[in-house]
Amino acid sequence: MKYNLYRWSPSEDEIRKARKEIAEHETAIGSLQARIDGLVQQARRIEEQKRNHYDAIAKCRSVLTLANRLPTEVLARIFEIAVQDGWTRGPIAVSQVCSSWREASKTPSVWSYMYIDCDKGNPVGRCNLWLRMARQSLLHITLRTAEQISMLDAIFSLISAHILRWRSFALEASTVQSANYVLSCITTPGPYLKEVSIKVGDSSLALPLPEFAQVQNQLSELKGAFGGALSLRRLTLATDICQSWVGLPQITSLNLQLNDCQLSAARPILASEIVRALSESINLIELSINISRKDKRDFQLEHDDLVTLPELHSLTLSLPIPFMAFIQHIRAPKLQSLFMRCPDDPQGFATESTREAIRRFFDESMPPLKIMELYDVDISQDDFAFCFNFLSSLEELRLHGSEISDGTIRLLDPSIGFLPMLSKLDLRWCGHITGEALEEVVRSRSLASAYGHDISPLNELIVISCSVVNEKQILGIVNYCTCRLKMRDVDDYCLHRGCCDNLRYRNRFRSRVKINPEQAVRIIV
Amino acid sequence: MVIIRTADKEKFTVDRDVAECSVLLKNLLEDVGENEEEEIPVQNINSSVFRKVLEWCEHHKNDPRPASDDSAAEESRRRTTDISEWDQKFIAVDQEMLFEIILAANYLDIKPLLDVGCKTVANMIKGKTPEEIRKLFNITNDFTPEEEAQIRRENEWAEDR
Repeated sequence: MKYNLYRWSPSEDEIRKARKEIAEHETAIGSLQARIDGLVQQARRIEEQKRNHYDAIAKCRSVLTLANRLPTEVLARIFEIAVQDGWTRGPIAVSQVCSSWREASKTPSVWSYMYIDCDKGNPVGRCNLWLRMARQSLLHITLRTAEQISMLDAIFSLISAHILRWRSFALEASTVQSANYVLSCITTPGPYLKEVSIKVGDSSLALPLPEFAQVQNQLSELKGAFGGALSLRRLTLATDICQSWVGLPQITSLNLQLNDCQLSAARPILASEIVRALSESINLIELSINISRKDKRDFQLEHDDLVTLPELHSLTLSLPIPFMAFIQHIRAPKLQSLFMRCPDDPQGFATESTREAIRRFFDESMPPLKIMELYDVDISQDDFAFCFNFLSSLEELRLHGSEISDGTIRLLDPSIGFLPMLSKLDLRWCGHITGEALEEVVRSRSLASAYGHDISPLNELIVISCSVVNEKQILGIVNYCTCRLKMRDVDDYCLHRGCCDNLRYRNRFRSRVKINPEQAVRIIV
Repeated sequence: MVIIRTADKEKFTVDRDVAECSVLLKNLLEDVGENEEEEIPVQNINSSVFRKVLEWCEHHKNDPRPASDDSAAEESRRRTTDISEWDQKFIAVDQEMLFEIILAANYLDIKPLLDVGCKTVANMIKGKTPEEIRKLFNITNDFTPEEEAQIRRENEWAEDR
């Protein structure tokens, strides 16, 4: 008997038939595939036609677009704005857009902002290109130092050949030593140099060196490099330790910045070292000192070193609250603007030593302040009264995160007469002040002024996130002055922080409160 | 009040202090003196664009006027890339109108408005590649092969931050 491997086998006839059918189906599939291929080809041709139309449209739009028809000088102005805002690749990018943009990009001022990172790409080639394109325009140079001295020397010999055309010079170095090396190479900067910025370190992990090494950490070559730059006015120093800071007598604007240090055991910040740098810059008109609230170092006031800055008009202290006590080391008899800021401090209330220092500053400097801002730096009601006594010329008071009370605000009433020149009051996150007190003070000052008393009416009141000022009271306030429920358009510290957007409140105010046309003019919502 | 006639023959009656935001109009007004009947033609600007420019001038009529010889102040103004909230809303228009406003501000010599326009375009192009800019503004690449070769060479040293 024949052994059958399978349970069932087709007959020869069935096999032939199946094979024939398979062949027929394969033929049909082949012909269908040929049809598909033809259709795909046709679709591709149609797609290509469509693309051609799109290209034609783009060409036509290109004819219509004004972007490449702007006058060369306007295009160059746009490019320059983009480049000066830090778009270091900008001149190359815009020069590759189209021939009209390329033409405009040849304007020398577009190439006057040079960013040279000695460790990246071909810095010599890049430097040469920029210098060639900038022609005789003034140069804004940002130089990032290299580990390789030879590269640094090559770059420096290129840019120092144009030193008479330097308008600003910014140096970014990893250490004070490498910054000093570059500074030691600078000789005879020209008459156009107005701004210098030196940034050293900048890592929050960088640990300030122990005390014995501090001597090497002063930017000792700065004076030699720029002492003769008679037009130099603005100096920015950002370093790991304040021992590095050095002043120059000709500067009128100084911005001092300490990089964050997270090591509480690091050498403390000594007020005397800041005083020393300031003493070397006695012609300052603007001074800003910035130390992060998160800096873990200790701050020592030590003794009573003083620096008198006779021309100082504007002082900004962005410091941890205990460091604010540094203000007692400054005498500024012409100070017009004082900004004390410690954003996001959960405590906010100034320590006794800081408050004492502020009182002492007012008592001894008696500055003719026009603007005072306390930003998350709160003081007691007695301190307010003490300071108000010295602020007979104050025109604008800004308080952010203050517990100023109704009683203190009533000191502005004409019957008491504090801050007689005050015309702008800016209150944000002041949770204790009530709308009634504000309404009363704007009303009484407005009437007193109208009756000829020697007191300024409050022309503008900003009220943002003050929880006990209600909508009805705001409408009462606008009977006497302009009331803003939103930030200033410009020159507002909160603009970039987003803490005072107040959008939900403003939307709710707009939808809930009916404002007549007269009120609409005086309420900025 | 002064009467200003745009390219499409529309007439605008404008406060003198609003019109004087434009250095060009200020000079023309000085020439015509106090004659309020005389129309001042602005031949290169259409009414729709001029209306927008007037809206800006009305809002900024009390701003201090930039002195033409104060280059330091001008530099300082131009170096601030911030645009005020009102100006941002004002300039949030389609591309064609944006460029028309820039051209009008340039022609009428209103430097602060020109700056608002230029800063807006600068913010639009910052950080973009040439191709992205072309796409953004419908610009055709019209470089010759020689220029393309030169561009490739430039890219070698266009290292960025």
